Amino acid sequence: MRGHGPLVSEAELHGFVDGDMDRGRREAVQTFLAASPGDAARVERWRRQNETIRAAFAPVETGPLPWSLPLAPGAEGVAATGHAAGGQAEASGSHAWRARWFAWLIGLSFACGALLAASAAYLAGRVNAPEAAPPSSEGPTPVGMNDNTFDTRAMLALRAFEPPPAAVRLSPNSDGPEQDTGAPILPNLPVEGLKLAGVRAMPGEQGQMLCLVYASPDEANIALCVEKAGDPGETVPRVSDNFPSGAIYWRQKGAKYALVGAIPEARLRSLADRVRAQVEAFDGR
Amino acid sequence: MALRDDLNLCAPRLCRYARALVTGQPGPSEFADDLVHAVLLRTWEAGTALRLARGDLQLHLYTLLTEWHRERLAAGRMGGKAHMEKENFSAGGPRAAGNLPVPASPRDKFAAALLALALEEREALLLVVLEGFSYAQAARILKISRTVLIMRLACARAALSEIPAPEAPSRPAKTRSSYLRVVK
Repeated sequence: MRGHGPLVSEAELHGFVDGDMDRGRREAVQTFLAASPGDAARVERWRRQNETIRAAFAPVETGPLPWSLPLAPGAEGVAATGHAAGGQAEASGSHAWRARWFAWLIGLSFACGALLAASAAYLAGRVNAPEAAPPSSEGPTPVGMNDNTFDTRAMLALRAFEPPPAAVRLSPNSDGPEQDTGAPILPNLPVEGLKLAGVRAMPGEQGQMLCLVYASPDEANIALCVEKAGDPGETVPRVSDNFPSGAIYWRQKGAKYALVGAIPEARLRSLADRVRAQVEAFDGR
Repeated sequence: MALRDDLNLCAPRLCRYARALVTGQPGPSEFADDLVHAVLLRTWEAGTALRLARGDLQLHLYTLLTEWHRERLAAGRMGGKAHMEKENFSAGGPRAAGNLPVPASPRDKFAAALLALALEEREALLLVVLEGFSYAQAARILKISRTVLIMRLACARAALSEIPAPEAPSRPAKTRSSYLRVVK
């Protein structure tokens, strides 16, 4: 390019605007532009273009990115696969990456869920293992209890209902090494119309708590629950005040009893009295 | 610094370049952003094998993005959002600007002016002006000589002429009269 000053090429003018030029030549270009208003105007227009472009996209650098940073450590190896067959495959590479990422997340979720379920089953097994045993005080049941042990324990439970050799009945002093006289007694509710629907064992304060659930065609279900008491003292029945799901509970013969059901309080008391009488009269015969 | 940190540092600039290249606008573009993400992940995967210095890493990222963008265009897999660019690419540069729909807002005019450039001219302009690469670096990214790069720059600048600013001058909005009127 020929001007009034030193010779300056078109490339040098672009380099001048873009800052890609030696310092020595920069002074020469400045001298040239000072003497060539037309070229100076052109260079000024380029400079404005540069500023406009930079200003237009400045927010992108400081704005939020569409994906989370930092790059996830497990993210590698996904996009590249989509590009393996050349750039054409990459057109959908990112979508494939998303799909695989979600698939991986779902797989991980299932794995975690399975692990949690297994852990819960294991813990439940540990917690419920003693409940499978009869209400005796023989201590916790081993998790790996075999059938022979179970049979023995079942027979012990039955022998607790056999008449003791001495006249002492259900006494703590009764001998007989296999007889668990401290086992709570679960009487049958002597009421017409009630039908035993099931037995439920739950963790209690002193071992396990057993509940007999009775169903009635006319009333709501009733549960009679018992667990071994910490002390041998007896108490009078007390009624909780959260009716209609009422409960009445008492302590009797080394066990805690509770009768619960959505029935009137008077009915609940009547049933409790009959249970108490049956427990009191229990002799194992 | 770990490769992941370097990539994360490069991500915003790479995103800026991709959006400018694809849509001519700074706003989010699924096409451009996906492209960037794919480039980052690809580089992250191959990072241990590449063992690039940070400067070379940048050149590698921009080279990859530019190439993949070209490949996508060539494959004709442009999405709807890049429709204008595809049209421009196939027609070839500012001479095809007349085919583009008439942009309304200054932002659209700015984007249309960028997209009206030929792809290779736009690449050169954005790498040098927007991303601040030296001529040598830009030429390396585009795999062309310095002379060719400057020629493309010159063509782009001549075509842009007075590029409109994307944002309109801030004037107080003229209050429009309400369309609700009391009818007696």
